[in-house]
Amino acid sequence: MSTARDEQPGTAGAAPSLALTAARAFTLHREGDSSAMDRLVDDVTPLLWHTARSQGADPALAEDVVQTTWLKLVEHTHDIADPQAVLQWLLMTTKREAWSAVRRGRRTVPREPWEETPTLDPTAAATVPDPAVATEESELAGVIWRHIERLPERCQQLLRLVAFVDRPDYAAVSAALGMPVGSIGPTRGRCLAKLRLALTSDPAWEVTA
Amino acid sequence: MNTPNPAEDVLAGQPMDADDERALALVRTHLAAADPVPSGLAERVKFAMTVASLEAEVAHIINEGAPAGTVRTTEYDRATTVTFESDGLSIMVTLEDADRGTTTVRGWVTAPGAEVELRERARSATTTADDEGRFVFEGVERGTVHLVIRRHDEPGARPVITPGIEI
Repeated sequence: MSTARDEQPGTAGAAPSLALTAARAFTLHREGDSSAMDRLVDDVTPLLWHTARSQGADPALAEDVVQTTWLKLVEHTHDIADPQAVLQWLLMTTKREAWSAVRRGRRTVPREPWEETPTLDPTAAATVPDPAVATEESELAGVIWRHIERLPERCQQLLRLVAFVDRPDYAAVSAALGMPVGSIGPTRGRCLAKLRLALTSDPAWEVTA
Repeated sequence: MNTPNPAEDVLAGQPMDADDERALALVRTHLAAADPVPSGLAERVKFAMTVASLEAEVAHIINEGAPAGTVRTTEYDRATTVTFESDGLSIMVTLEDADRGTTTVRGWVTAPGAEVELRERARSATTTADDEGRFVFEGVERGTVHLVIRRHDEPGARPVITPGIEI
């Protein structure tokens, strides 16, 4: 496996990128490692969920879209020439599936009885650390979110996704959204600049920044 | 997006800094709370992928032994006996507590001599049902498992997979 693409500029000391982790797991899967695909699903599903949601899919539709994407990967396991491209392939497939499913306005996968989806899992680990800190953080998060919602649609899509990956993966995310590489990182780029401009004039952000 | 804005142009050309990282971290905080990834989504995806890659038929629960209670077909707790059925095949599974917190999975399938695979998270074990269709797996650890039944008495029969069984 070539390591040329493993090292991207400006990523020194960063955690291994999701694209790289995904490429490794996918390679192992194709070599017959039976648990590699499970790891890939665990690692990438959250990002695919947010991809589908940022395309306007409601939660039920987003679940279908994510599932359809993974099933397509099973189908196309041997058509993907370069394992390094698997993350981007998954993101693009999710985006395309979500886009068309939203426009068709219906579910893509027939519901089966075993697929009942609990919307709330009371057994899920509570993620409320210190109430005071949590409140301050979530208030500020709400402030940011209101600014995000005023950005152009494509900027919203981009920022929603890059929020869930580290810099080495920005290029894969931009490309999957059909935006030029360099739309974000290493410079801010348009979308982050618009957000920054909005935040600069918001006292709620300035106070804490 | 095309309205010229000199301040924005300048900001766009500057390197990302700690405040940008912080803003993105807060976007993540907001979405994690407001739009969480549904619990169990990855597990449901894996099950669907297994079914697809095995070209398997999914057996459905037709009966669950004591204790009675609400049952979701993908997850249920402390069921001691469960019966599954698919096209022409019934599978009965009984869970028994065993040593060191492990569980013995005893089963019976209406296809004597069928190959029975127990799939755990990262490994699997395979056995063959005896002449009366009985099979047993010992030392099964906590978690969700699936049984995959491959019958050899009917050529061309698809494998049958059970929904998750919570051990």
